[in-house]
Amino acid sequence: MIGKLLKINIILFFLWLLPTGNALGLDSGSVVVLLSDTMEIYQKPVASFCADVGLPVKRYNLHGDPKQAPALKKKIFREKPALILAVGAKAAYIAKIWTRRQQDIPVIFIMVLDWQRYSLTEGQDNITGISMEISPGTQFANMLLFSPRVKRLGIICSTKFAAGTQLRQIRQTAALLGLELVVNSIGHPREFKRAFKEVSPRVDAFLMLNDPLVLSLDNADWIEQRCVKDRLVCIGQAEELTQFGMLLSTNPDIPYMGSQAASMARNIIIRRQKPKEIGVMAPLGTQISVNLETAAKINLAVENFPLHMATKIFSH
Amino acid sequence: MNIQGGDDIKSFSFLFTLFFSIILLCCYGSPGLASSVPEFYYFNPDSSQANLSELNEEMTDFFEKQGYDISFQAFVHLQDFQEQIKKSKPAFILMPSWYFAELGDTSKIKPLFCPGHHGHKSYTKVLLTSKAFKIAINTLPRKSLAMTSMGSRTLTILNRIMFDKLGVDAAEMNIIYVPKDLDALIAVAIGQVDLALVCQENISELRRINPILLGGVKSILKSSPIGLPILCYTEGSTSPAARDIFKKILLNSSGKINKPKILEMIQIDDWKTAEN
Repeated sequence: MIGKLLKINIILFFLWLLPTGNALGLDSGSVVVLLSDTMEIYQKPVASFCADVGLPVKRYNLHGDPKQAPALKKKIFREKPALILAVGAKAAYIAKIWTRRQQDIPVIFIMVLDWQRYSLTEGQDNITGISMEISPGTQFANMLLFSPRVKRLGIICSTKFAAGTQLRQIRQTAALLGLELVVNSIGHPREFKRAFKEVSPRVDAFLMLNDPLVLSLDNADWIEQRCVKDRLVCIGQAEELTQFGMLLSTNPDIPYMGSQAASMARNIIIRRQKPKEIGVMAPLGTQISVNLETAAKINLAVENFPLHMATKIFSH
Repeated sequence: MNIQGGDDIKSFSFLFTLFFSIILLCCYGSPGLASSVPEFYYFNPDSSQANLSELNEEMTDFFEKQGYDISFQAFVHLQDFQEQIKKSKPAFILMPSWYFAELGDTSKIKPLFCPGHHGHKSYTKVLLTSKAFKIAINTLPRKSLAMTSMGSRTLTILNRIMFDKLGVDAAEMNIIYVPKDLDALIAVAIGQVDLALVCQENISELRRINPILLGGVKSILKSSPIGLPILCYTEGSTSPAARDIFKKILLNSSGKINKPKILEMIQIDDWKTAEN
């Protein structure tokens, strides 16, 4: 009998030793996933976040209606969340407003197109996130893997973009990889073709930015043919562009964004990393697509190693 | 109309039930055995192979040429792989050695082959950082590190293969998991993270193709050897005869001078039996 009691006590003692939320650094409630809406594209990143974060998660959904925010806030803030993962623009913006006076609650946003437009990090140190765009550096590196001889790269952007900090950062990253940037700025989409003709003779490759002034259907179609004509390595950020003739594109691995967000969440909650210190990250997981028909047309021989890295090969 | 007695109806019902049962048994009776095509799952995040559709095509083609039908499925994400393993019981699985170690002895998944590559049964990973980064061991904690996941025991494995000897705890580092080695390599090359842990072989390949890409990074630590992925089978999911044929096909492929393309793609050129 005494032996049995002793055994039970030993088991209880070890159970007590097991890590709880607090032992993991979770000094408040659960991790909250706040969805903007029910969308198929959110499913995989949210699933990978929940699987990888390794902490208790509660899910809430705005169902596309910001009017639901006050009632949801009441429910969520009954217990202070350890962190909020805001999925989509509406959720990100509402999480920003909710935590304006409670900046000890960290927020990570994902799946927000053009996040700068919502001034999400302005005035708040508790917000970090993952942008929807692959960093230009990642695109350059992938391009150099497929076409190692590229030395000069052309970019056409809006005058606003050319004046901003982004272009300076792109230049710095390009220099890091031994690339020289040739930039031409435009004020209207119809100036694109003229600007490209000026840039083309001076470069070996061309990066099609996701700038709305540059990336129109008409321009994308024209550039694909023009790059072949001018024997240029042409890179972009959408698989569809490669499918219709662009040589290479590097896109974010959307399902994996949840895992990256989970890594960031653990670093914030457990290792006390500050969201501001992390800043808004580019997605690190990539999907590469390449068009081998275009490669043949511009006389580019692609090695096996980068081909194996490509997630999609178009060769018609 | 001549209607027979109740006995005839009874024997007709019996025969009908028997016939129907046989049909059902043939269709669903022994999943994974002779009647259905064996499934072969592949998950190897440290390999340079990300083109799963090409891998799928080559693998299916390779087995087809040997007269062996197989349903091949490759995974990039650990979560998808784990979910699928739970849902179905694939006949064969190529998985990282750390994943196999997590399964434990009670699992129905048993080792079939321990592969080799260029005469080695293991590979090493290298810790890279920017050349501009003045690294000291005591500054490693709180640095951001990009790497592929090694499952739920990543930190323990990391400490064992790399950090224990330095007195550093991987749990103090800000680890960010990436789906493939190349992502970690590029992230450190362009300064998105402080450190990256990547396979030596992928670094060498990248350096051979374009040395500029890694011009700004240096290696600071080398891991102890990590076992190459293990090819396993699931007990009860395929007949011993079908397993033997599968084994023979692979063993025959590894000795040839002109090795099949598929072996180059999965970076394996030798198979050593691992069954007891």
